[in-house]
Amino acid sequence: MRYFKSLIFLFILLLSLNTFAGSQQNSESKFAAEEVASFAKSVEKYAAKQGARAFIIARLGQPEKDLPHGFQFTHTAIAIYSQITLDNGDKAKGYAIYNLYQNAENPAKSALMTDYPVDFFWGVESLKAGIIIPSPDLQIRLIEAISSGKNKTLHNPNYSLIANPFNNQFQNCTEHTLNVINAAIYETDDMARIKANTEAYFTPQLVKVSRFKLALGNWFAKGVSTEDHGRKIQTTSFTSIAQYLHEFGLMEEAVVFEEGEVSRLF
Amino acid sequence: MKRISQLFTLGLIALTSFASHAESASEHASKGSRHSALASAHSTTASAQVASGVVVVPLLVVGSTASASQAVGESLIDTASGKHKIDKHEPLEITEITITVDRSPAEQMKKSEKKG
Repeated sequence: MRYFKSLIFLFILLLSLNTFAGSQQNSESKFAAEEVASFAKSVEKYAAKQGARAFIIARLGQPEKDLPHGFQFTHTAIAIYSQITLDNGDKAKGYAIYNLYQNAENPAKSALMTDYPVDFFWGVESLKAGIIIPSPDLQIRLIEAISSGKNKTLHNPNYSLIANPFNNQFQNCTEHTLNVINAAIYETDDMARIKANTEAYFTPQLVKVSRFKLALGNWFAKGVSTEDHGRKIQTTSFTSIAQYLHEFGLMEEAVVFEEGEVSRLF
Repeated sequence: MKRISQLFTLGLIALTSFASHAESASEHASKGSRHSALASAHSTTASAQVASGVVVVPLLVVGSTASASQAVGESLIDTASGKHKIDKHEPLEITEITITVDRSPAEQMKKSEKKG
């Protein structure tokens, strides 16, 4: 009877795991619409004041205390300064954001989507942004990489929350961002070359969650896999991207923007 | 049997703690709801506007206008110096309009009618 009760409890828990997800395009907001809009606009204006034509942007989709050690944000993308044609035909200047989002209906798959700062920050846990401004040369190469469609060429729709950046078996938003950065640096969309250079020069973030827990996640939840990892579980984080660019002199600044204040990421 | 029950309980605890590390999924809402929420919020502010973004073209040179047919490489390099034209941290212009991917309900209806 106790065994049967445990089975029922496990079954109920598994049903609830359809809420288990990584980077998604959020539909519900915890904050009032005007708060999100005001915050999003202030992030745009900060980046614009620094003269950033391309920058890496991140958001926090759940309480920071719940993140594994070393992770400060839950979704990362690339923002490009653009001329935007509106639905009424008018043109406006602002940032467009190039994302890899996990599919809500099938968490094991992802899709690329371009949205805008208010969409990006809709549904966040806190009004806090990560901003990495690359060097001017890298900004131009990033714009070129996006404009030439390298972000699409490099997209792998097989999603894992903890994808290993040293291979292309699975991909998450931060690994995709790193792939586009390296595509820009090396001016290539050759994935083999990008992965070789990633392994040679990039230090990923160690995921300090027990393999037992991860294996259970692997077995029961779509969009989480340990198949692409060796002995260590390592993945790309926003901070590890900043450290990579800083190490090779390709970064102007990496900051956290919150409540109108800017602080250094590290 | 007792051991299997204990293993299942351990598995439940592990799964629950791991699930908290992922960003929460959100439910699907109608596509016009975000645009409507923003429009309602902005209706109290005379100068603010909400609009849907339709076409995006990266801008490389301050003060320039871009067209979809403009080659990205054309603006990149100054032929005399061989350097890119962006040498200084010139502040960029940002619209006051809140731009969203969502269309207004009216625009979404027009789009749906065209498809039908």
